Amino acid sequence: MLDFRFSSLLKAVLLLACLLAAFEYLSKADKLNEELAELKARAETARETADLRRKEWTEINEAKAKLEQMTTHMENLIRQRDILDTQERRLTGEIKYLAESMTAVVVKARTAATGTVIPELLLEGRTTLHNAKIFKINEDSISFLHEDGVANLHVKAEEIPIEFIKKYDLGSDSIIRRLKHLVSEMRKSSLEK
Amino acid sequence: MARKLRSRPFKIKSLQVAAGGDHFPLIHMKPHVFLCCLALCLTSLSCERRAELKREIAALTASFKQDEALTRQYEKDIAAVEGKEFLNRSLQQAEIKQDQLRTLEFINAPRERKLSAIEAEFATLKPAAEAFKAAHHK
Repeated sequence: MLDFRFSSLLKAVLLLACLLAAFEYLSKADKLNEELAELKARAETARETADLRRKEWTEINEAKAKLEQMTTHMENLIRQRDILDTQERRLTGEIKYLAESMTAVVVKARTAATGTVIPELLLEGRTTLHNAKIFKINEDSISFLHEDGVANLHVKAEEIPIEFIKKYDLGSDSIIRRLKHLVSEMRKSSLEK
Repeated sequence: MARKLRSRPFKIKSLQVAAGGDHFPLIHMKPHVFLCCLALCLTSLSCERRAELKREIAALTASFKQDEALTRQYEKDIAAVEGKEFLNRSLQQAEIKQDQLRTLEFINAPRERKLSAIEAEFATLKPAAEAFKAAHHK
């Protein structure tokens, strides 16, 4: 019927096939390229949106972490304040107790010393007192009645022998004064709180 | 004319020259064979290019879907903590806490120093006082 080896119909069909193949290639390639371009644009938008949300989420997380860190720090400071409160209460109690007991002992010692007679009281840079009787003991001074009259010796003027200062806890550097100073400091501290 | 074409091999002068003679196999193809080859080549090229484009499209689609999923996840997480409101509230709270912290630090630090100094002083006074008391209790 048809001579396929050399027929012009076959050549025409082949040529048509070539043309169709070329057309298909070009049209499909165009379509795919178009699709690709559109997809690229959408992917870019999606990436930008994702980046934006990521940034927002990071900001939220950072704020959360900062707040948590602050809360922890705050808890530590409150704990420290509580420890200081306890320490202050304990210290106030101990100091008050020691100051009170010390005051009682000092007053007792000073009262007990009144009337004591010292046959010969050697004083640095002054005449010796004979039969010096302790008349009164204050925080900074001791008054003596002696053969030649009355002597009022002061710690500040360094007139009183060191053993008297220690024995009756006299002077500005006395234990009782320092304890009283600590008591007033503790009171101030609790008022400042 | 058809007979003439049938009997004559399909020749391309330039290819003939490039191949250096008349014996290059492609040059002596019959026209229909050449057209067949051309059609096959074009189809193959088309398939290859399409496959490449499809691969690219698939990769982009995957990336797009991943980004969309990420966005959805972030939006869900942000919505779960009430998003911007939470952020603003957190910032306000942080500011308030910062003030409270500053106040506490301002109070605690000197107080601690003062108590330490008092405690140290008391530690030196206590033995002296105890010794004094012991001496006067005799």
